[in-house]
Amino acid sequence: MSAATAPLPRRPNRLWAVMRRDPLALLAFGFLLVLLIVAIFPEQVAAFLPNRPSRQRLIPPNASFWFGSDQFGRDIFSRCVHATRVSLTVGLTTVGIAMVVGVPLGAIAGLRSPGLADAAIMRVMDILMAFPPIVLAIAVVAALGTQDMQIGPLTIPHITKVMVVIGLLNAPKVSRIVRAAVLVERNEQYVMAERAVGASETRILFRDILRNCVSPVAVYATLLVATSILTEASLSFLGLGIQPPEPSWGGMLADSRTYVMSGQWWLTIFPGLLIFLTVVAFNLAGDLLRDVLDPAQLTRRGDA
Amino acid sequence: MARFLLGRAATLALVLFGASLLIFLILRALPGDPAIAMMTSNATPAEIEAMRRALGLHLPLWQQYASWVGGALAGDLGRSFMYSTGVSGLIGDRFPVTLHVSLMALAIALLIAVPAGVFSATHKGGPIDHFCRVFAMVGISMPVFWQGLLMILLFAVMLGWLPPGGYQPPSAGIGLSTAHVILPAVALGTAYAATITRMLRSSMLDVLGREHIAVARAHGVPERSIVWNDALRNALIPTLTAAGFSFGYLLAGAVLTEVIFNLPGMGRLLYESILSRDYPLVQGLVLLNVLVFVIINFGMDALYAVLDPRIRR
Repeated sequence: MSAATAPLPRRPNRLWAVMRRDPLALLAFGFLLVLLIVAIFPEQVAAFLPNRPSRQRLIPPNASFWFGSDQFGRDIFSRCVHATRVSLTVGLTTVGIAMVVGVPLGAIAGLRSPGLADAAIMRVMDILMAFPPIVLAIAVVAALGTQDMQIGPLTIPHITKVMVVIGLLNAPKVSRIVRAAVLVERNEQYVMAERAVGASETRILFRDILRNCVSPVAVYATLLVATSILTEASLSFLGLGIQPPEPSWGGMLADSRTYVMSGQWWLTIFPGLLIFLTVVAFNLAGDLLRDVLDPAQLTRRGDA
Repeated sequence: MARFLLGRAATLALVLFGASLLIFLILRALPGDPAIAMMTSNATPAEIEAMRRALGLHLPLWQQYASWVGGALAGDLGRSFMYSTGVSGLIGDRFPVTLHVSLMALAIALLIAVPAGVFSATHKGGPIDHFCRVFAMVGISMPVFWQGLLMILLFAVMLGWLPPGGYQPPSAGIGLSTAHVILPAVALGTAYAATITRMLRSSMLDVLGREHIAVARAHGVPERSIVWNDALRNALIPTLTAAGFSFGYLLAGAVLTEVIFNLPGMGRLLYESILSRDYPLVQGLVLLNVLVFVIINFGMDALYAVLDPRIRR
């Protein structure tokens, strides 16, 4: 299926070729790189500490407050910069969790299909997927409470709970994709050949099958970062995610609701713009990755 | 065909059972005692115990679950702690608002997505196609709450054309009602329109490349008739089923839009019930959400089986 009839350039060249054709994707990668640097060195980028109050409250953007100041006189630019780290951390960690849970389950289901293990795993996933995603996230996070949780000597920060919840909610989709990919690869001739020469199941699974599932999973993971950042922002907007005064894009937007009616637009524009641009960038990167990793998909995409 | 639907129905029942169990367990296993939450802070232990009994919280978990599900099957979802009335009645009051906004959002989405998807496919690679794809990317990535706030800022605060929130039922006059619903509907419908545009574009491209279209062209059938009759009809099948699947997401997006626009719908009710730990209300609302989601998916599966005989096993 993935074997192309016409010779294709090798991957680095193909990446370059696709990028040259698609300047927007190049821009997206550039933006993500900037975000990453900002997230690693927020102190160097921001002029002020994110929670430093001042008497200059609700000042429109100017030379010292680039994005203006909020109701406590805090610098919105500095808060946005520090919130970048939180958003990226949540986005990447939740996807990591979704992978760690979803990939093995999907692989087992695919290998044991049809069978009891497959049926059991997939029915549980069906149940989890029957919940409209944000509804379950809101319910679980709200039920867990927004304080840090104490389990014995361990203190679990609220943000960790948020990441685990979003990650687990996304695991079923990952496992479905992996299962589908394993089902396809399992019956390929090269696997039968390996089996015929007596290769062990584990070797076949790890060396051959999973390796060939990397492309669809990588593409999906990139798109999932976008979704996860959006989910975290939604939760923070509803007051269930990152807790104030800790800066987060969603939380800043929640604060801005009071000032929308009096026309203080800068409180609303900048945090939202950052969420939007970050999500666009990850979506574009995912699309680009799909074009690079799986050229056969180029003609039949759009599985939103 | 009957066997296929029967199998689907069995899965549906299983999923609903599992989901109801999960909803129940999540809300029970977690810290926080609703009986304490309902009392004033100086309540005596005896009073709290009495409240627990009144709420049925002293019963074993399986009995609590059984009585909840038994009631739910009979249409009774228990009493809300917060409002002290029946959950079913509360949901019945709020449901029309959410339905009104969701249907309006669906209409807006289709109005945008069908022409956008078709023209994007027929003018592949051209400026229209590029514009539609940029729109789709923007729509998919736009946080619904930010879009809502921006629209309030522009249309309610700066231009003063529309109210910033609140709800008026259609009985209060279509114009007034629509003025209140249009902004939330657009906010909700944009992402949906973007998703449908993408799907329709790719399935139109797929259909337009098939042989029967080439044959029709060779026979001199006018291009407009080919696109809008033959191709669109075929391309709509997968698009509509996929659109049905994501209709459940509209209901979920209702939480955010209803909070922003102050609409007294099911989404805001869910949000408020969660904040006040109103277990029966949360359970009822989430269960209903799952039910609608699962039934729509089942309906779409059935529709697909009717339209496309190949998937009947």
